[in-house]
Amino acid sequence: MAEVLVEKVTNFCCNKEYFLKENEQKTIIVFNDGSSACAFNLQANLEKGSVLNIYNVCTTDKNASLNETIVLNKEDATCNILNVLLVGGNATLESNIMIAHMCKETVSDFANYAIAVDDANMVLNNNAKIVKGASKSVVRQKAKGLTLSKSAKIKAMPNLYIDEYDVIANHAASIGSISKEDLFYLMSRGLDEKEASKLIVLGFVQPLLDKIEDVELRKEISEHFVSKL
Amino acid sequence: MSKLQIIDLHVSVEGKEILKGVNLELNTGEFHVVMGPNGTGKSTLAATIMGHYKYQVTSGQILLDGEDVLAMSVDERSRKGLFLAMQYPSEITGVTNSDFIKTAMHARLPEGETLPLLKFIRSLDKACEELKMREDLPHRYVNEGFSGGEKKRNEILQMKLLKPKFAILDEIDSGLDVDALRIVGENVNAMKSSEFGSLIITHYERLLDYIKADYVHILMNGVVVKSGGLELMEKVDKEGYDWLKEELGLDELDDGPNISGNILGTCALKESMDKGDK
Repeated sequence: MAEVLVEKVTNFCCNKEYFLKENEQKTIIVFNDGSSACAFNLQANLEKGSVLNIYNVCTTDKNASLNETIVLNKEDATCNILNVLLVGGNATLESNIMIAHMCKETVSDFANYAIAVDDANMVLNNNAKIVKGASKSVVRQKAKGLTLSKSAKIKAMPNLYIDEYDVIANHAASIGSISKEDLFYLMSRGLDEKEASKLIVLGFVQPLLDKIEDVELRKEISEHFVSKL
Repeated sequence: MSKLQIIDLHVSVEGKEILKGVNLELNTGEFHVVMGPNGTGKSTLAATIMGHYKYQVTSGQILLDGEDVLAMSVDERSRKGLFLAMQYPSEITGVTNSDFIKTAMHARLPEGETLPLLKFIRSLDKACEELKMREDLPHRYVNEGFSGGEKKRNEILQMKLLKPKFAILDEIDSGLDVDALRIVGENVNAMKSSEFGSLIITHYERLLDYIKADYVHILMNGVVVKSGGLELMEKVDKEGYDWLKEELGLDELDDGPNISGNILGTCALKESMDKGDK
């Protein structure tokens, strides 16, 4: 059973460091509710067979950044990151994540769900590195961005730096406004445009909510998203 | 008893006319089948009735019990009793089937009325059982990770729960194996009543082994060229469309105002162009 830690980001600058011992499992929920402009910095080192799950949740209309470096030091170390980020106003939100595969048979799975509204900007700087010798490692990166106004911008940079042949590595990124086809589908069942749009947008947050067992925290996060949309 | 009328309907996509004067009339209690070669406008007709944004109606009318459907938004059309079972339904991440269907059912209730949860769960469970769907299907995200057959069943599940007056089934049989075809066919058939009618678009007769159709219409080059009973469908299934083209002299009417004979699906187009070259 993974230990669950909740990091509420409210300070101007917050630095955290984690070290996962052999076979240790940990889940970290990083929650920035947008109450102040801030930077969150995280560094984690994973030993053999350890599993780290990170859920980065941010709803903000103030400038913010998320800087995380995860080092998979020993074989069978696994890191799963799920980013669910919403930025509004004229703020800029930067997410800079680096996952380094330093040993064979290490695994990382990194999914981003990003929403930008108003005149906001978001930058998703997603990086994964597999060093030579880290054979049979697996990297998966995914970014889905939704811009809900004409001037909102999301920039995704899915970068893979690979020095080993025997690996599985894939990345995908898609950014756009709400799909007209999806909207048509929901409306063809009787939902008006506003309701259909809301359902699609909240659908971006649901994969995260499904993972949070703490009912109160789940409710708090859900309400934050609903209030910002 | 309700009536859906399609009157001299002309529809274009990106400036190209696809439907060139379609006339059809459906009553509840009737199942109408629309057949035709590829690319003759069957799916265009289905999507236009539901109000898809890609299709521009240039002239003609669609009336539901005398009301102008073309003046309605997509969601209004649905709430008035139209339903389109799509060939390629969307996948909606993060929205569970049950939440989606519940919201859609709620949307058609009078203002201030709410859907009793227990009643909803019971009716959803019952419909899933009748369609022999996997137990977890209502709790999965809408169409995400569904097989082709599951997607089609999911369309029929929504139809059963939303209880439209008229359902347009756009190639609901494609991608279904024999068992799934029977289940879908039986479920559609079971809905036939004085409150429900259907426009069924298909390429194959096999769906009609399970759905009792009343009328068959052949759509070619954007117009209904022939209507009849089940014997018409049997003939098409055995002989294809060549006899009809011959009977109507379609190949000779290259520049006719309504039936040019040049847009009869990929193969037919190639054939007619070859003939034209000679």
